[in-house]
Amino acid sequence: MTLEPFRASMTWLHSYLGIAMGGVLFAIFWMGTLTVFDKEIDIWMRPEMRVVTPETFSLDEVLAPLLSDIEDETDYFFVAVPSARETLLRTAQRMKTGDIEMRYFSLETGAELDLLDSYGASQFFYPFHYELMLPWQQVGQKIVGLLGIAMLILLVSGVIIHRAIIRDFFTFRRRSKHRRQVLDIHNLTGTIALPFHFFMTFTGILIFIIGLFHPAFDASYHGNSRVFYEERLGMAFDRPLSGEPWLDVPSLDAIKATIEARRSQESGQTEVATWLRVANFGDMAAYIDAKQKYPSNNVSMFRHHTIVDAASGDILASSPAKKPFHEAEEWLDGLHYIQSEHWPLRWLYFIAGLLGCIMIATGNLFWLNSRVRKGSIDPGHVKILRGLTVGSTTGIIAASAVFLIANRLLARDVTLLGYGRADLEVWAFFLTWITLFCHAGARGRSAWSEQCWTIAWLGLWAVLLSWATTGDHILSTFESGLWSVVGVDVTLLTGSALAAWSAWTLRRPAVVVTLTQQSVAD
Amino acid sequence: MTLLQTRVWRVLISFGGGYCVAAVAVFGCGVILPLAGVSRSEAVTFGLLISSLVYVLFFLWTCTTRHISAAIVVSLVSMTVVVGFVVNWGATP
Repeated sequence: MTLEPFRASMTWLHSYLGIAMGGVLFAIFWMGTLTVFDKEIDIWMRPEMRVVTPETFSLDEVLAPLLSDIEDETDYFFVAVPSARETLLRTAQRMKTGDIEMRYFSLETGAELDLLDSYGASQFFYPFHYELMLPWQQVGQKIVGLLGIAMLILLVSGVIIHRAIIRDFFTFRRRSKHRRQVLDIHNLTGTIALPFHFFMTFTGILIFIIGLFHPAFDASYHGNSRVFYEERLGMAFDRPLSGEPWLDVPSLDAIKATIEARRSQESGQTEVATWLRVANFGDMAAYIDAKQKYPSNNVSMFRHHTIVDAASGDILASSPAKKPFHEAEEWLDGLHYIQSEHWPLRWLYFIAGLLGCIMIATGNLFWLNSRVRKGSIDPGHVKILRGLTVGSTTGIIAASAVFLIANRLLARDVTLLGYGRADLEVWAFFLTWITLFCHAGARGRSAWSEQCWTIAWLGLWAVLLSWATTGDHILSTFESGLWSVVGVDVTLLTGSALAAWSAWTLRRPAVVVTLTQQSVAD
Repeated sequence: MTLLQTRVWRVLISFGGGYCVAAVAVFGCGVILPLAGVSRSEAVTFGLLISSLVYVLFFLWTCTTRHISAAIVVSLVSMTVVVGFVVNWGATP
């Protein structure tokens, strides 16, 4: 085989792996960046969630009537307590038939809310981020896992091929040629957020790693993965049904207080049980499994469980302290999920995620511009490649804005061809995205600025439509302390302004070329 | 063989071989570390933690090494082990 120098082979690998995977990697990065604020976008998209959660509340007052009514048909019942980012009390009832019914309650009024039919960010942007809307046989997760490996390879090869990585950190030649500027932005965004890109990619792979290497995992556990999770948790608890109905509906408030007191005593800090699962529902042998999955002041994702007898309130089992490797893994998972209530860190994640998007987009753009300049690609292929590059970057951003606009425009009970409102929002996203791919292929170089103008207008319209349909404009939401809505509106307006500025900047070289051609013709 | 063919072959060997080598690393940790007193779940977790790094290192090595035949041998041996434990796992009741 022909051998080439080390750095040359890395350059080739970085270029071609980047161009082959760049479009999908951009989609993953973009959706991941939006997911940093998924719960806030949910509140923006479902106006019923725009309520203030009282500091003290009683679960029994809200849920006791419901728990009495559903005894016969329920297998287990799950309660998620509101947090600083979630305003509503959320419950999931798993029927004996296997169906799951979700309910949302306002703790201000105690009433069950009929939420707008929408997937929101947490059920559309988030699954898109980790499985590309391909849930069948976890195919999407495996693709994203392998793309994560590719991203890690791109990062390592990128560091190797940049001889002067420290110099790149301080370099942006604003007055140099357009192609050089693009490369400078690619290097700059890649270098500034390099640690973020490394740990997000690494921890992202780690989340899928069991699915990715399941043959090795299954071989270690002879196909019984449950044993692994029990060993990792340090406990295994199961209690069969007694066949006798429970005497009374358990008091969730009392049980929650018992668990929190016990956990706070053990850890020496205030602990809150945010997830409660009532198993063996309606039976004398019912028990409650409680945990605080996302601690407010800690990066690590706790999976500490406490099992309490539903009738007596006695603690039946409690998971022991974590072993070092398990603790390390949960810390790394937490670093990716960023569920702690640390707002400056959350904004840093958002900005670093955007820098990642810019790095991928400018990488693709540089590759394309270089080939066009050298004339090494057939003009027909340039059209296709430009269509793919523009559509996969500005196209998906515009489609995300259309998803928000569709959420504000569609009637509450609308159906079309058997699809409900939530599905129609997703259709709006994909139809826009496909249209913008075609537009980019047809319009050539001017597609960049045209799609940036489109993003600028769509962002502005999303804010105006939110105001028109809910009556909440930025000043009123600011006054009433609805920070989630303020944040989304301000981010949309900032995004619009940046898109308009980009559109104006991208338009200039085309004007210069036109004038030069005109001068030559004259 | 042309430079392009060489590159394509190297990338294919890197992707396939890297996966097998990383899978063997996970399995190997699950077998070897418990012999040193580490619990099985911790050993497998450690294997999972390092597997993506093993994958990346093998990938980069295969793309650049002068000894591509060595990379091919390592890939084939790892693939045999992976197929071996998939078949064995399938036979487990």
